[in-house]
Amino acid sequence: MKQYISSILLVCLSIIIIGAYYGIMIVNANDFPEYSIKTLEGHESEMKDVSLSGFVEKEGMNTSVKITSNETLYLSNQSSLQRMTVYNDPRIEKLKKEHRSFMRGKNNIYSFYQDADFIAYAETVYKPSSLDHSYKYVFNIGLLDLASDKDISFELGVPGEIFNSISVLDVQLIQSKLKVVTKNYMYTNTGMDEAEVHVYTFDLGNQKLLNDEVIITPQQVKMGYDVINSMEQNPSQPQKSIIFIKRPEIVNQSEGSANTTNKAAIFEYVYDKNHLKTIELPESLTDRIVTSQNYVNGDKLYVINHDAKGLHLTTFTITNQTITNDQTFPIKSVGTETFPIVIKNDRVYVLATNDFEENNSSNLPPQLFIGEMKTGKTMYKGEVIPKKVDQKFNTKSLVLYSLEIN
Amino acid sequence: MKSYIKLVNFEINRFIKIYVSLLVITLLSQFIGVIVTSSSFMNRAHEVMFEQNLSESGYLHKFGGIDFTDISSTLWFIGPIALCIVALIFYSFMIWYRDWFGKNTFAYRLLMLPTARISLYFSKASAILLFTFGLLAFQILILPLENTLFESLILENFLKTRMDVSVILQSNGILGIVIPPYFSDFLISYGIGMMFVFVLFTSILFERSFRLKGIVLGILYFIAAVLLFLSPLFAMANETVPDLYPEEIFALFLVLGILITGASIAIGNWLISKRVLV
Repeated sequence: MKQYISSILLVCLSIIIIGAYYGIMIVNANDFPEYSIKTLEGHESEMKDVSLSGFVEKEGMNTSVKITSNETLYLSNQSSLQRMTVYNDPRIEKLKKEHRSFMRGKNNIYSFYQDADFIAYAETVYKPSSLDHSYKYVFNIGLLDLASDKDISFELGVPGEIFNSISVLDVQLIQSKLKVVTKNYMYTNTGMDEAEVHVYTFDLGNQKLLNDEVIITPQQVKMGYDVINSMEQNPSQPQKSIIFIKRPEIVNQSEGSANTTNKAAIFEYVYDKNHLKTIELPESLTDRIVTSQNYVNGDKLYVINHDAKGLHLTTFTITNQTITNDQTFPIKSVGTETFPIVIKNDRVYVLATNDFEENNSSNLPPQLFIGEMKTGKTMYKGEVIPKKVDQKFNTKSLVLYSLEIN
Repeated sequence: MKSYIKLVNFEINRFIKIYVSLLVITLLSQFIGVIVTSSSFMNRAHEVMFEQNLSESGYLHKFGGIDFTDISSTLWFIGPIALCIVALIFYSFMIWYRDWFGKNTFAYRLLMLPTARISLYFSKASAILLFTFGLLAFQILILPLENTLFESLILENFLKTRMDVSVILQSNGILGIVIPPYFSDFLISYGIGMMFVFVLFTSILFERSFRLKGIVLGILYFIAAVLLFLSPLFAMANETVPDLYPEEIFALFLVLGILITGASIAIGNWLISKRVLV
């Protein structure tokens, strides 16, 4: 027995110490606080579909967290395999489940178009050409016929000069032609960012590029032209147009000269008409859109400002160019931060948090606000607090940055 | 089974003196590192405060405090870990060759034992694995002690953050690899490690069986195993291969790992029972 003593010690100590260490790690991983959304006003049923995403800081490490009305879900509680895919967009995950082979290597939700018959995909990739191995951007295009489950895919070089980077803004299938809207950034000598917005039109049958049109020139980008973010839950659904904004003040503040013709404006690029049309805005909106948060959803333009009374939300319907809704919701904002907002089914959902405010000292818990669009009524108000208050975590360790409505 | 345990015990006892020395070197070097680094930090802080006429808070504002990452990135700390890794890799060779090159060809007696010769192969692999786990356990054991010593040597105000063992392990590149934060990652890392121990052992047996020709065979076998295991990475870089999903890549690595380990053991078994020369 005596001759076995060092082996027995080595085996036992290794198992006990390594086992204990990972045991403690597993217990620790589950030792994150549970959060709940405490109702301050309104009825709980309003927020049952809301899920809030963010991270919790613990001992210098950030762990992703998702909070819903009834559970707190942490990333670290999941297995390695789940961790590999969990960063993926849930909308991509859904497509992946349904069309596993077509979805290989496709990740950007803004690169998809989906209707009842087809899924189309267009992305730009930076890769060496097979001829001279110089790096260039190429289009990676795919089309899946849902009825026959057959797909085509091809690559085509991006024409013109070499771009610094290209981001796809929208992909649409219009009269069996694929329209791809991109923002292309260019190399400049001055070090200033220069960009232009292109619409590329592809003939999918012959795998050819039919047209490359610049719809926003570098000069216009310098004047403050940009695309308005979409609030679509599903950016891949068919759209007949894409909306741009011109916000002169933001860019040209320093140059001073109050140019009267240089007013803020909204433009619509209708895909089957191939041109940029100015949308007439009422006087009250032209001033506001310069500093507001703006979102497009279908033919609705939402203009959102924070003022003394609260959150001022105006709905402008693009098709008939009128204000169809105008409400102020009692949400106070301390600084200039913009809150994550989702508008869905006649409800506005706001995640009011001061986590991103510089010199944030107030340490207020993040709030969830739900208002009715039509009436401006507050339907729900709640705050995110730990279930057990006496834990070593306070709300400060929780930072929420987005909300989703399922 | 009994002979396997006896052989493992035998292998451990043969290396135990050098092994304990490695543990002592680690212990001494890391503790000296903690003492030297933290006291020189405090001395320098006091010197600078005196020379520049700074208050404690003034110094901290200008130069900042210290935390355990400043210790765990020093050579005092990393050095012995690297030494242990190199020593174990070196011993993975020596565990075979010392039987042949020692006095009166000990290998002859081992191979003549009335037991399946593959037990010899497994006992050597088990010994390497146990030595590795022992080093890990030792590091996990002394880390909290070093941390306590460190915190007692540094004045409260100069301590940037209090860290516990798991945070220290994750904040340091080498430690984070040697002792991964998740148990699943631990299994993956050491599973790959064991696979390469088997591949190496089989390469060594090639050399011991066919001598000069065997060196070439052994090296080729090792390179082939590495390339085969990494082949999913080459496939991913290749344009003609369709993009793989992460779970598929994981499954591929798993299958390849099992395949390579199985092949190494099977070939090793054949070499040691039929071909090996004394």
